[in-house]
Amino acid sequence: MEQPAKYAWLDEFLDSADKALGYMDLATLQPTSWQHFHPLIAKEWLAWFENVIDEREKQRVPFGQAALVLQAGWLRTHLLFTMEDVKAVRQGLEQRLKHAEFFHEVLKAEMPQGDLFGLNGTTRLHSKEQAEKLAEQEFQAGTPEAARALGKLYNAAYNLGAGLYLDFYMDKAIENFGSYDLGDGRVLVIKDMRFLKPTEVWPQIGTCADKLRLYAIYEGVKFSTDMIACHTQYQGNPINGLKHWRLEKDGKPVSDIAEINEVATNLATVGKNQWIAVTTMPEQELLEKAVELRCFVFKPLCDLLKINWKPTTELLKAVHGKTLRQGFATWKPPKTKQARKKYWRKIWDPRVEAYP
Amino acid sequence: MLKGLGVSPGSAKGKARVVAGARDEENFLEGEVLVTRITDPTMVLMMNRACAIVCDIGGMTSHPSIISRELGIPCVVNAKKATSTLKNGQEVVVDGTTGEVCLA
Repeated sequence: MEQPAKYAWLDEFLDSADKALGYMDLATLQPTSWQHFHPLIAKEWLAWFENVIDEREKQRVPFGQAALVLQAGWLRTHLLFTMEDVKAVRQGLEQRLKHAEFFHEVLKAEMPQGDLFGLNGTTRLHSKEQAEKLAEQEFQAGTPEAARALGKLYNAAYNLGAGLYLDFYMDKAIENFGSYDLGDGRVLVIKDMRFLKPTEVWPQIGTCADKLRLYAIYEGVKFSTDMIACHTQYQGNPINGLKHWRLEKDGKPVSDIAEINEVATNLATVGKNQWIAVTTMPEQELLEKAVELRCFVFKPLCDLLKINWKPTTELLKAVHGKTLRQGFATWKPPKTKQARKKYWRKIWDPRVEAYP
Repeated sequence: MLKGLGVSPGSAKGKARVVAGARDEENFLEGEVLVTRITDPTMVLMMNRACAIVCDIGGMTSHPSIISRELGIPCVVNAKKATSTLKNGQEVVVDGTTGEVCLA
């Protein structure tokens, strides 16, 4: 069945997904992967999520307003996850496209500069003028010592993010914006580390900051991400190439390297303990927590719509008595790389009648 | 000695330390080469002290790859038999550009 041209954007999404997932070694995902977990809850999750997107429509909340609370990185990855879900439960074409279109519309509103799916290596929320204005703030001079301290801080937050949101929802915690060309071989990159103290889902978490934002101006360094905005790549030397930086901790600037090291140590230590807690959880408990975390990703939208973000009883019940092994058995990817690539592309394409 | 995928450029020389998890933290010295199957968040403090990272598995956007690029240290992933080939205390050179790990 021929699809209208209005869905041609899906080709760009599929190319970007191919590229991002092609770089990944899915065997490294710990303690599990989304392809193990999501099939267990696909039907109930889609019911939960459909309620959210219907509510947005009912309340006539513009996509632009939703874009203010939903980050680009989540939208990209959750588009991919949702496309797997709709195929896993064999939803009809109209429903599949409805889900896809929601993500697309919010992404369009959020990133008028384009590259909605990161195919060209960018995640640009800001216009050139906005980026230049941001670069006019008070910055510190870059040194290798500062670059290493900031690298350790980012790593600590990254690792904490993996423990708080599992490997596959960690873009809730980490997202990189840019790069923004500032001229003369300089680029601005914004690194957001946020939702680091989510007491709603981890009441005991002892992190010393909830949000960190790093503005980094590099010279002679090319920076890119892929569809997954925490997948940073550099060409050039990001240690010697860091010329200016500005760090904000919960909205306040921090310039003292000793304080940065202290925050990094706190995040690393909390992150290590969090990871141990998550990886030693009984499977049933992990599954229930994963359900809660998936809903929590969309809490900002639920808050905007003034609806309950917590999982429904049906959604929580969906994992009872199930195992991750069962979930992964849903998929039947071929053994050869090329055939496997084709298999997933068809699964991710809501226009195509291809099911696991 | 080993050939894998270079995912964070540069070259570094140091003593290998094969790591399995958080319990190895107190033995891990500043400037050692962290050798493991695949890094995880329990190793973050060791990664911060390492001069290079070598993993048995992994790709361009795996955990050790991203972390090492942020730290500006060389990293080789998918070296397949690193944890069984390299021994604690062996002086090695890790080339994160070519993906080679050699005895110094």
